[in-house]
Formats: sequence, structure tokens, C-alpha cells
Amino acid sequence: MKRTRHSIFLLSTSLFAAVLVSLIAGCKTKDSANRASETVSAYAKEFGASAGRLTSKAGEKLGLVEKKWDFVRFAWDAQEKPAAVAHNYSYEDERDLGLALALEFFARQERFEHERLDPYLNLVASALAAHSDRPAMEVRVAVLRGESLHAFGLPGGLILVPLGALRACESESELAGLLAQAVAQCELRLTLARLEHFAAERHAEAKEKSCVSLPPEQLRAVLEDLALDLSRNGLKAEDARVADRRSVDLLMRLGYEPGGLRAHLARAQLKLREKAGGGPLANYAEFKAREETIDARLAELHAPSLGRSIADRYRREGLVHLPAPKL
Amino acid sequence: MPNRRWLTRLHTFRVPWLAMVLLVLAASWVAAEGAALYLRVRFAPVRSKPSLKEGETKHTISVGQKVEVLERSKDGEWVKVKWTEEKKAPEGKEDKEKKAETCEGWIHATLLNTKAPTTETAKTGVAAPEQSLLNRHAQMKKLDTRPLQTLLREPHTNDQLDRFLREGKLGVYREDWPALEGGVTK
Repeated sequence: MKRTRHSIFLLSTSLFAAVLVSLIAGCKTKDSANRASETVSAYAKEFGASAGRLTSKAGEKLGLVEKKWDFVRFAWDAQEKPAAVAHNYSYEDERDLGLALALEFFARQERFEHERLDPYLNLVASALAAHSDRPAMEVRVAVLRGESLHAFGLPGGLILVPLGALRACESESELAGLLAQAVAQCELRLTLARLEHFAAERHAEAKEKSCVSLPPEQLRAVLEDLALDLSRNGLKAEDARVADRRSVDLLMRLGYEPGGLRAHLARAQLKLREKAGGGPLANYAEFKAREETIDARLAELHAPSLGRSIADRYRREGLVHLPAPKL
Repeated sequence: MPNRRWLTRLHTFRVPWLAMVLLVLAASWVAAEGAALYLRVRFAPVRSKPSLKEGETKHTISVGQKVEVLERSKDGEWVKVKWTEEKKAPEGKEDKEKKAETCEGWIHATLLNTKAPTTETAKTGVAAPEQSLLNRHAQMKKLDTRPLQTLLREPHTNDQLDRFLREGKLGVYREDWPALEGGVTK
């Protein structure tokens, strides 16, 4: 009798121990894996709409921001939802569509090639993409001989940057801001979603089929229209804001000056004002909204204004190789 | 009294109890140390010492590589990891002679995550180059594909990208880079 009791006791204790071990082993990593996001959500829950306006110091005081570097942790854990794409596309499909779209751009604007500038731009963009949530995506940068201030992130990691946008940068962090916005467009499949939208608007069968499966004639028309629309009007305001938010995360992950994109936008506005003869800007509201988005993201991450601006390298590897603008 | 009965029981079985507690502690320690993590950036240097200034780069691992945690540096910024790598067969020899090699080294904790990163999905069924969407499109519109030829070339190697980051003190090369562990326990 005593022996039976002993074995029952031993059995139940072992079972208890096994459950405890599995709980400890399972919960420990899960708990800590979600620590940063939990901190953010607890913080957001407590402060509601004003969450983004809380300063780092106040956050530290409340014990919600563990240390001054938590903004990088938040940037790594930030999840940005990719654009809703109706059909499945393999990476090669995306890449093919991106290349075909790039051809449409090249048909309108000549490509500017430079043996020193191109590798440098590719290194900055690759570094950003390598630290994105699609680290295996291979990015390629091509410079267009245009004076537009928008950079485009085409499906599959192709980035087109006009000379005008490069001229509006004065340091590597500003260039990284500009390219991070384009990398974010690729990462979040914003242009691909736009392409699908264009196709669905024009052809009923595009709702059933992916863009890759469309008859060549139809796809040709859609790509042509999209390239024209993007080069004339740039990204949709809503998409631009999503990409701006993400670009702040990317800059932060890599350690660039967090306000690089904001500084680039300010310079772009100055350039546009110069062109407009000092008058008010027609798209001032759009710039203002983008700046506010960037500021809000920086505040959410409790990001300080410090970071690597690297003006020397940009002047050495980038700026000196840009051709003089046509008058 | 039920309390007293439990105490007596506890006294009788103190050895198994102690053994169980020790077992639980040992198992939880093993579970925490041996956790599997994934590389979340495209590639990363694995160092011989937990520092960028001391030691040397022993290996380079690529995105999604699963590693096992062996230990952590005192400041928690570096993690000693091990993983198995398929050793390439010497030239002229068949693939059958491929051997798995266990590698070890220190990696910056920021670059590891508990979740495997997104991988790019490959196409199912490969179309002949002349039938590819791009070529069809270019031929139909009589577009010049030359600007794409240089664009598609490999612009740089991983080593060049690593040097670029090091020169700019970016990423893990940032001197004041914080200890981030992708949420893994210190």
C-alpha cells in the first residue's frame, strides 16, 4: 500500500515538474520576444491618442522605456502591414513586372549611368533592404535624367531615382532617407498593389487573374498608364505616408540620422519654391502631411535627433558625380 | 490535521522533492541557453570573440540561418551560437562526399530573432527566357532593353557591403549600438 502511494506521489510530482519545465521553456522566450511590442501596446493603451507625444524622459520615468536606446528596439519590432495584393506573385513575377515597368520609365526618361555613383547608390539601398523585413530582396538602383523629386520603388526591388531628387540631398542620411522611402515601397509592395488596382480598373478579367497572367496587350497598356501616372503625379498621398513611416524604421535600424528623410523633404520644398519663383507651393499640404507622419513616427519610437549623417562620404561618392542641371 | 500530514509527507519524500526541483532548474537553464534563433538581416559576420575590435571574422552567415544559443557575453550584446553548415565537396569530387560541419562563433544579438524572416518565393515552372514577361513586353513595344543589362548585374558582394557598413559605422558597426536581442532573454 505504502509503495503504491509512494509511486503515485512520485508520478504526480514528475508530471508536475514536466509541466513546469515546458511552461518555463515555452514562456520565457515568448514573453521576452514580445517584450518590446508589449511595452509599446501597454504604453499606447495607457496614453491613448497622446501616446506618440510622450517624450523619452517621461517614458523612462514611467518605466515604459527601459533605456535611451529602446527606440531601435521598437524600430526592429515595428510591424508594417504590406499592401493588400489580391493575387499570389512569386519573387520572379514581381521582378519581371518591375523590370517591364522600368522599361516604360526608360522609354520616357534616359538612364544616367556612372561607374562610381551607381555602386555607391546600390550600397546604400542594399544596406537598407538588408535590414528590412524582406532581407533577401535584391535591390538595384537606376538613376533617371529627370528633375523630379520622387524616388520610385518598383516591384521586386528596382529603384528609380531622378537626378533632381539626388541633388536635393546634402548628406548620406538624407540620401538614405530618400532611398529608404523607395525600399519601403518595394518591401510593402505598394507599387505592385497600385499596378493591380490599375489593371482591375481597366480590365474585368484582372480581378480574376494576376497581372502576370493578363494577355500581353492588356498588360502593356496597364504598365504604360502606371508609368505615366507615377512619373507625373508620384506616389498616392496615402501610400507615400505609409512608406515614410516605414522608412523611419529602416533608417533607425541601420543607425542613420533619424530625421534624414525629413531633412530631404525640407530641401525638396526649397527647390520647388525656387522653381516657383518663391511663391506658395501647390503641393504644400502634401509635404506638410508627410512631415507630420515622419514626426509622429519619430515620436512613437522616442527617437532622438542623433545619428550618422555622413556628409563627407556623400560628397565624395555621390554629389561630385552628379552632372550639372540643365538650365 | 491535513497540514501536518502534508508536512510529514514532504519530510518523507524530501529526496525526490529536491531532485525534482533540481531537475526543473536544470531543464529551464538548458531550455533558455539552447533556444533556436534566426538571422534576420541578409548576412552577418560571426566573430571569434564577442567584440568588433578584438578577434576576427570566422564565418559569414546568411539570412534565415538557424542558430543555437550557447552562451551570452556579460553585457548581453553578443551571443555565442552554433550551427551546422554543409561543407562543400572538393572540386572534381561528387556531392555524395558533402559533410555537415558544426560551426561556432559570436554574433551581435541585434541580428538575431526568434522568428524566421520572410523568404522570397521562387517561381513554379521556369519559362524560357524569350517567353518571359519582360522580353514579350519589350518586343511588343520595341523597347530598348540595354539600360536593364547593366542594372541587372550584381552591383557588389557581401564583403563590399560589409566594408561599406564598417566605414560608415552603420548597423552593428555603430560604436554606441545598443544591445538588442530581438526580444530574446538576457
